[in-house]
Amino acid sequence: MNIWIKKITENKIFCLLLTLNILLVVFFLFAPQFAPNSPIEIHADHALLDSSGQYPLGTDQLGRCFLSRLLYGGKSSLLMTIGIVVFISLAGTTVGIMAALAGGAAEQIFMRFLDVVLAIPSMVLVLVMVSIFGNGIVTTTIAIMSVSWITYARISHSLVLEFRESNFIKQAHMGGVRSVRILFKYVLPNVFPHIIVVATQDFGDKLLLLSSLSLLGLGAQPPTPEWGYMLSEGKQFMQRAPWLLFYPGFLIFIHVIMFNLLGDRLQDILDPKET
Amino acid sequence: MNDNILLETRELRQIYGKGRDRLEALKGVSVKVHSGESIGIIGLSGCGKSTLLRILAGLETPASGTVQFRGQTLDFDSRKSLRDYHRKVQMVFQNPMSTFSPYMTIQTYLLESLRSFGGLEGDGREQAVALLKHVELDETFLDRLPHQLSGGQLQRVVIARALALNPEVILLDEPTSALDILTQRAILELLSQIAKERNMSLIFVGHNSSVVRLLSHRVYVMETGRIVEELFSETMLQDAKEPYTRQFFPENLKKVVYNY
Repeated sequence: MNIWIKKITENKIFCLLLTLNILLVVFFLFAPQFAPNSPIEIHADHALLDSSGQYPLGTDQLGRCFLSRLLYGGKSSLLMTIGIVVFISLAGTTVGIMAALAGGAAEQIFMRFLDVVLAIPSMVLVLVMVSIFGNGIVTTTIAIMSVSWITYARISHSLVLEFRESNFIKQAHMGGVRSVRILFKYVLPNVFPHIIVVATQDFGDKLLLLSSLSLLGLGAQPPTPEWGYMLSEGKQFMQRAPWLLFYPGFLIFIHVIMFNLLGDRLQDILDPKET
Repeated sequence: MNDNILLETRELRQIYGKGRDRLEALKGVSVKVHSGESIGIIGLSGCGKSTLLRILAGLETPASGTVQFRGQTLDFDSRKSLRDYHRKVQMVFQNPMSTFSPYMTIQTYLLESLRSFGGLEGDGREQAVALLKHVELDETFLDRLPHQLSGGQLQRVVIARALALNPEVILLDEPTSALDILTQRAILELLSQIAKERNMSLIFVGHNSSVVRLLSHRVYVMETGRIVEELFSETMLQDAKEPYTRQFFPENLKKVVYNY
């Protein structure tokens, strides 16, 4: 374990990115505390105001404080995205590893089923599910979760297949190493670094997917503030109040970029051949 | 010497695939290894020598035939039987790097078998140092990851791990073929010395007769799944009758290289 701590501390750029990412997430999780106004209180006479002392980033079309909405929206966007990524990476990896270790006909049938599901674009599947079960933030989150874990199952399955027949597993069997230890000491350490990297980069993808669904009006419902939904609302007032598009778009962009950069650096660190 | 048979195979057959793809890799192979005796198995690639070694390692179940260790037939379907067998029979694979999990330190790797068989004392560091000493490596290697070692150093660590259980037989699947000529020599000398010191049997698979002869008392020559000749190492150059066998002799190997 010391080797990894040493590698992490020696990689200054990774440490910087990790700190910035943690600060970003923590800031937005506690951001509602700093909101100067209510994010949902409507003031029809204050609609589309420019920035001022009372409304630091102006107001939206219903006269709601835009900064407050951004701060509240960040919390729900980030919490949902983190929840989705954590769930799909854990569930998908567990299923993928179990399928690969089970082997035989069950593995074949299960993996072909996943192939069929993967052949359909996930956005289409999510749209179908949302249209069946209804709009809303919870339905959208569940719909994304139920189609996205498959990618992780495929990745972890193929990783386990790669070394299921490898000499280091054979040697572990010859050394009398029990199956549980093989799973935790040989299989998981070789699967998790790849999954962590994919999950970090997937964070940006899922934030975008969630925002796109909200943009289509399928995710967060009024008056809940959520970055994607705020973009969707703002697009009608693009020329009169460009900040309604700029700020949520910029925050989504920053988070996607930051998590992708973190994923890239993590890949270097978790590669045991990189010293 | 006949009473002292350590490991014996009887009429081992192995078949891969079905129908058109059916391949009979072993066609009734019987070999004997006496206690403290080392044997070599030579043959061209695809002759079945690695299959034979995998069966001897208990990693593959033969289609028919038996493997006996000290007169006890190995039950390939019984975990207990295989576990008892692996206390006494260990293997060194061809490519050392492939036998390491890239994320496992050398210390953890060395102590895996001791941990499984209940022979670990404390954190095992002293045992790991002692094992490394046998293969002429020092304590500084213990906290490293596999990619931080050279091919020769890795193969020494693999040998050290194989020695951890104090086995009676070590199976060697062309253990030096991935190494340069000087490292090959050093590893072979080390193996020969360890085998003598511990009265341990080596079963060495390769296709260079001079390398195989260096480590073995007797040599089996394999061709397309069969043993075609059995020779004593010391006299094999004179005794070999089969032209197939003679092609593995050093002067003929040179010819092959020059003609190529």
